Amino acid sequence: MAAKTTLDTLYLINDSNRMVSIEIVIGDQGQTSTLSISLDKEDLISNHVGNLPKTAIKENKLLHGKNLKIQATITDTSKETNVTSLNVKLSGGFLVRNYPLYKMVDQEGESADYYCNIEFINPSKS
Amino acid sequence: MKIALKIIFAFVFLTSFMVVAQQKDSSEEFDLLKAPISPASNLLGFSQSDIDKPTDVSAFMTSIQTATNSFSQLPSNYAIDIAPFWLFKKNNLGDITTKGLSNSYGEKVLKQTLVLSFAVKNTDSVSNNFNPTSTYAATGFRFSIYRGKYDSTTVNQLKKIAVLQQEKLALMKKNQFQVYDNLPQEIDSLKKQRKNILNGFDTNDESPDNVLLGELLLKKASKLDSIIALKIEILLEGNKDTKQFEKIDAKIKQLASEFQLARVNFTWDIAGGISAEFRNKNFNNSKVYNSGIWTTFGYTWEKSGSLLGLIRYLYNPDKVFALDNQVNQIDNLSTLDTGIRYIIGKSQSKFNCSIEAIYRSALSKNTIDSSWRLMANADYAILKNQKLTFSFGRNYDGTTTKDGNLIAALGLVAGFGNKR
Repeated sequence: MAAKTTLDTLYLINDSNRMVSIEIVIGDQGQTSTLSISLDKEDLISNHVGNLPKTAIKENKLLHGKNLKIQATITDTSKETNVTSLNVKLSGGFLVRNYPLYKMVDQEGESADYYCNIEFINPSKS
Repeated sequence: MKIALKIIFAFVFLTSFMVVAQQKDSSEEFDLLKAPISPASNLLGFSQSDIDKPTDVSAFMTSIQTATNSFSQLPSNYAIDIAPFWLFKKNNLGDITTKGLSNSYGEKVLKQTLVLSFAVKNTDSVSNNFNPTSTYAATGFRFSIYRGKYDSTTVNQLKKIAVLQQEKLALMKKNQFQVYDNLPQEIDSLKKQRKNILNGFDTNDESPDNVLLGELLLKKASKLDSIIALKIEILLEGNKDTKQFEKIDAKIKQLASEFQLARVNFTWDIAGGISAEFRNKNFNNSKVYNSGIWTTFGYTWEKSGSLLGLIRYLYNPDKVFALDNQVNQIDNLSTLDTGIRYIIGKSQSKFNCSIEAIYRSALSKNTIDSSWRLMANADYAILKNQKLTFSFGRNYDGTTTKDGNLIAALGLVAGFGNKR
């Protein structure tokens, strides 16, 4: 199983007051995870365990040029599978986007480390 | 000479284990106070090893294809357990990490623990009341209403893992910021190319046509996403403090490899199933062959063991426990079992012993007398997949066993596969 643990992408936003939100789903069954999120240098979420429910980041108009960074580590504590996965869902911007990442570790107890960098961009302001 | 005697003694000792273990499998059941994992297969007498348990859709389709000879005929001897929640993984599974699975009850628990079982049986000869001219089919279900909470050992291990993961996240964050603050010109240039793809695009126009155009542009940009991500991954790997990462990883691995998810507190399971006999293999000529509904409930304490209870209704059981496990020759027999079991032992200890009592009343009049049974069981986990078991007690009265009312057996249960 090929692994994809790093994400670097752009997320389209506009000039609206609509809130951009993030939601993170961790897999697979029975794994143990912790994650942190920051917007530029500002910490949004620190050491969150398990899935991250839909969480507001900021309004569209305030996000142009900012970078959302996510660090997550998932430890294989499952007796059923060695697969780990992290699905980042962004909504509220121009489009709803899902970014699936995954890695199968070799042995039970090993950890998979995930890094994401999402740059918010409003092309009309670039 | 002494060594030879020791080897012979060890061989005889181990052989006696095996013989008694085999006798045990064919004659007595010592764990009656448990709802069957697969009710439909249980009603038609399938052993656990004969039941297919697909964990994904492709395994499920392969199982069906094999059983039906590539969809050309109905299966003849086939048993399958399906956990719909895990098999047909939908996008919205909710939190299925150790944190999410810590819930003891609720809608998610019902869905996560639901198992549907299906079985079809055709026999070549008369055995256990099965008629070779008939086809038997069964369906069943099982789910937990309460599955218990994590015990303190589980909670403590998860806390320790979380603390180490937090240390690692601090290192990861430092690593990521260092890499992004010093990106090489090559990556900067790729990032500019990616932005240029979107230049002049108006995101304030949210008409369907413009949304479609946005999707196309992002698809084009995503090709550069993969290239940039790969290059950054190499930089992150090269920049990280490998020694620190390895040190934390080793500690986490040590904890995680010993991790066992054990539950305590209140538990409540429900299971049921029904089977039909199709006489002369004709679908228009059928009757209920047997059926049953089980409910098991109990409370597990961290240190002082657990108390379990069972209520079970069976219609036409294949074996009548009250008649010393004899094959049921009585038509339309209904029985109601009530039982209680107390297990002494800590939730994750290697040694456990228990005492169980079952009272069976025959609901059908003029069939058999009500009876009871009392058993003491002990088991010791030698390894993760090997267990030494011992049972002693009084069987149901009304009939006699070879040893009078005494059942005694020593058994070794060993797994040959993965230590999981």
